[in-house]
Amino acid sequence: MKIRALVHTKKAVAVLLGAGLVGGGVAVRDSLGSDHQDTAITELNPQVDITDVWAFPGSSDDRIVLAMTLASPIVGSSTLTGQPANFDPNALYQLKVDNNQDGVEDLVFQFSFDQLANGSQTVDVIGPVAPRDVGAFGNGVRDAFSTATPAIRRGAVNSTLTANLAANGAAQAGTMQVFAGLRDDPFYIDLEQFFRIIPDRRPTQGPLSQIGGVIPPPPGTVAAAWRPKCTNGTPNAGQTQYDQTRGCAVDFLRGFNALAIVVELPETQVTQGRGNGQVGIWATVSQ
Amino acid sequence: MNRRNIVVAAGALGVLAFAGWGGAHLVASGHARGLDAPVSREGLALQSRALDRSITLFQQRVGTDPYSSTDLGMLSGLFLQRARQTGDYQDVLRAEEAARRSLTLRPEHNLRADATLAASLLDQHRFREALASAQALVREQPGSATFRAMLGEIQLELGMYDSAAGTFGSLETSRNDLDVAPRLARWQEIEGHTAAARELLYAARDQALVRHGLLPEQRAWFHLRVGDLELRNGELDAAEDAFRAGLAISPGDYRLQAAMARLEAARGDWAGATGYGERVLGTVPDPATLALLSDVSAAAGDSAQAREYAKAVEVSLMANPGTFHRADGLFLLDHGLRRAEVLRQAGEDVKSRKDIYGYDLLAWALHRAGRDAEAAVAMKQALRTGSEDALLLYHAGMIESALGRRDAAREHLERALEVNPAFSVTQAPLARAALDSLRGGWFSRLLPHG
Repeated sequence: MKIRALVHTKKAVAVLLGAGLVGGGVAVRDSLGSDHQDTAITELNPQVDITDVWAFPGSSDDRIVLAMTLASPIVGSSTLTGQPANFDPNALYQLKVDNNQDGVEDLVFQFSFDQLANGSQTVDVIGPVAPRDVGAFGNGVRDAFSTATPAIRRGAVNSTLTANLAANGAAQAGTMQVFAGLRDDPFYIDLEQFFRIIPDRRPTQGPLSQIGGVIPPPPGTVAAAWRPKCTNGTPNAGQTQYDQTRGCAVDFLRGFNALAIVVELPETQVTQGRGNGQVGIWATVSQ
Repeated sequence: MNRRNIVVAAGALGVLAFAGWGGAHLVASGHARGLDAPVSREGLALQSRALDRSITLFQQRVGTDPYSSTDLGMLSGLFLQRARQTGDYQDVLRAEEAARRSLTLRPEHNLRADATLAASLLDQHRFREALASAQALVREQPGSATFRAMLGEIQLELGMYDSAAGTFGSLETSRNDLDVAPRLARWQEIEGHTAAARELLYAARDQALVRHGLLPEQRAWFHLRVGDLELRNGELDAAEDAFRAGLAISPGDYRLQAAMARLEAARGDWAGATGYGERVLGTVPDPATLALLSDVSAAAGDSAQAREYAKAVEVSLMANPGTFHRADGLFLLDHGLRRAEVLRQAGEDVKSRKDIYGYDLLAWALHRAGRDAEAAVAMKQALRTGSEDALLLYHAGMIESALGRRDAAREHLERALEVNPAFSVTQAPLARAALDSLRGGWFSRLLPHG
């Protein structure tokens, strides 16, 4: 299987409460929700707000990592307003895989959590497994499987869980690693630069209205440079030269955590020998 | 005043302040879920420290990227959040400063900063400026019920009742939204529709309790609003239920402790009122609580302590710039302090802010100055919306009495005491005495019409 790149999106298609990546040219049907933070439900309950979906090569060439991140920005282990950041025990988190290019999930990974108690949570993991129902509201796997199901794992949030996988369809058996918990938000964006560019955010006045030329320093500051030149990501000492072409971008999400659900497993467990080796991956959270 | 109105804005904006950087989506239709477990004092302390950490982080980020209007907008919201929790006025000023810096960088498409600026101005009673901010928000997001509700609230504060009627009329389909209902209830109260206000507030409270994503102090605030309405209307048990429910969610919340102090004072439990009041003062030097404790101390017979508290009120008020809040002005008038200054300020205030409480303060200041004919004119303005506020009715009754209009005086005083027999520690007994006198003295109480 080819993994095209580290793939992520802030502007993802959402299903019910949010969803993410469309990979391998797969289209997601029935967009019932919306973008990251674009609905009251996800704003009011960031625990279910998917910020990004990720797929990238795993610890060896034949393994793949699938992940979703949620609830960013988190400071330490708390929301910005100081509430504990934890997974919603009433929600079902799912990573979905289409491996025959028909836009319908063939495999799902399901994650559910218990109530936060003394700062700890437990995660239940099911998958990869064919879903009983497909679509945004398909919670059938969790309903149909009992704790005796071989594919299920239970473990503590913020720890790495490892388990053996049975052969899955045409796939060989292997091991799977799962992590659910806090991680540095890996999404990278220079937000102010982004807002200078897109038409519906770019102001018509003020320092950030200008594209091209020298960006004036913010009022009240002395010789602050718009994105000064940098070396290996660090602005050069004493830098005063304005340079928009080679300036060092600002990682807006620096210092923030996100809730992450990460799975690493053999690619064959995802592709199952089906289709052309491309897969579509997306995520949903539903209640 | 109403200081409580200011809390409306702050509470309602709590969700807004932390809305995503991409959006202006605020509190909208709810998604009912289970009631959160009460947060312990330790839990609240942890949350408070976490909020401090967030503020520190954003201050560092602003230092690192001086162009970040987004960071400044978020920092502004965090300052407002902390101001609500601690009552620290300096945080309100910090919120304004951060919002203005954000808006300097990004004058448009910056709703978060616009909204936190408006809220911080509202907290500072800078209503004219807040009005301009709210109008700008509504222009940019005409479909936002939250922004229109905020505009309506500011119009109420400014006494622009016709405009407020139009604004709130346009919110009919959003009347149960959490950002709308408390403000709509306030309008209903001003219009004298107490039952409608009560219905709105209880429904909003019920919704807030199951609404995911609200902070404990935000949930508690809805209990506070319910309790305050009940207390204003003499329903002391219902008020206590609400305040205690709020404290169960947000223990140590100084606003609820202050409310409990008012409740105990209304019950004549001076020790209880003092206990709660001193807890408040351990958190924040709230002039209203200082004033209450002054009256409670006097009622308990400790006149020296009462004077100490009254002096503290005066010192506290003099330390803050600007005009007196209405309740503070009334306290000064009723205690013979700075009457000329209060009268002058009240006269100036109503030139730009024509709300019923402004006219009430002016009327009472004129009455205390012996200018009852003028007081009656101002009082007519204070009663023009049909408010059933016991304090306003009491003032109207006393002014009418001073003018020798006994029937009108008796009518107002009777209504004041019907609405809330314990509307004030110091003034309710005076209302009863005046009414007694108007009815012909104690002897008349023996008669059948009592």
